[in-house]
Amino acid sequence: MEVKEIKVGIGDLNIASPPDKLITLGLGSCVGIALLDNINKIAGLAHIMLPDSNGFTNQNNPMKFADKAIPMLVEKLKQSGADSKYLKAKIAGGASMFSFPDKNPVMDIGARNGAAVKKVLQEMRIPILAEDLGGNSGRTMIVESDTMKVYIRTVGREIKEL
Amino acid sequence: MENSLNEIQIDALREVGNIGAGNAATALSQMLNKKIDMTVPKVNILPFENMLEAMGLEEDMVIAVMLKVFGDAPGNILFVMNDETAKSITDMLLTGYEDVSEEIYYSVYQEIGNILGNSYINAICKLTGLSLLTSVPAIAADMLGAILSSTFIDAEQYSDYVLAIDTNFIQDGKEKGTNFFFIPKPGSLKTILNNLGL
Repeated sequence: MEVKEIKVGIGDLNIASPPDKLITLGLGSCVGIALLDNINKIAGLAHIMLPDSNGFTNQNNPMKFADKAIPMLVEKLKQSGADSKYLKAKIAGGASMFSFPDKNPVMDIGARNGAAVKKVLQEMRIPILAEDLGGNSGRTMIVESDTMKVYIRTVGREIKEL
Repeated sequence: MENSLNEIQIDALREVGNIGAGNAATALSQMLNKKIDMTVPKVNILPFENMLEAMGLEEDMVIAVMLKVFGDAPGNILFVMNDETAKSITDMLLTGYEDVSEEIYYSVYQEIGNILGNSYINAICKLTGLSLLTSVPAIAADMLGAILSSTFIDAEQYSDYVLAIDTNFIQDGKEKGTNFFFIPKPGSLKTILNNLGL
């Protein structure tokens, strides 16, 4: 069977069953959230760019926001046969690509994205198996639905399993 | 408002970009002692994916210098070079030096970005009478997608369409692998246009 590589864009989410893979390219300050159901063999991936939808009047695309995208992804997984009690998360991203000497933590959107994703997962009682957050490097995230493994690719380094 | 610019306003912004980038091209040309031209700036209002597609692939390795713009019309300046172009520019500037460390290369890139960005911003200030200041330059050598998305998000451009004034430099009749962006924060274009009486 041919393995499909399903691309998840910015402010986008999708799910995959074996043997397909999910991939999201070039996470900077954005965060990629892989949700895995190892029992029913189904995986999901979301790529969020902002921590919180509160205060935004334009919510044409709720998948941009951590607080909206994660519940949506869980719902989509459940519709395709996943059981929320088996869901586990692996997350990566939230870098600050440019390091300014006058860095203001309030303005560090990468760190805020990472914190928001963790908070939402905690509230939904989804355990985080692994995380690769922060730093100054862009990341590509690959989710294999048949092995339930997540890989991270960064510039100038070997691909590694998360 | 930013999605509903009329033809005259887009023309005016293009002209602002033209004068800014013209100044920047002159600065680059003086640094390199080579004739550098530029393309007519584009005022792009595009879905983020299309903005990226026009430049390359998400995982393309690029060198980018970013300057934050503060003052009346805040935003970000982003100067992106592909690896090859970056190397050729620094090689021209560092002729005669041997065993140049990576740190020196990065310092040169930052300084190029600094000079280009400030020539651009100074031209806009003179033209519009606005007061604009830039931060020190910051550099990243990384994936195009990660750099571009983070820069737009940093400029508070969160909507499905992103806006940038984009110029390419030309040398020996060929477009160099460079993109120079002014990425305004929401409201900044309105301020620029108001000051031009449009």
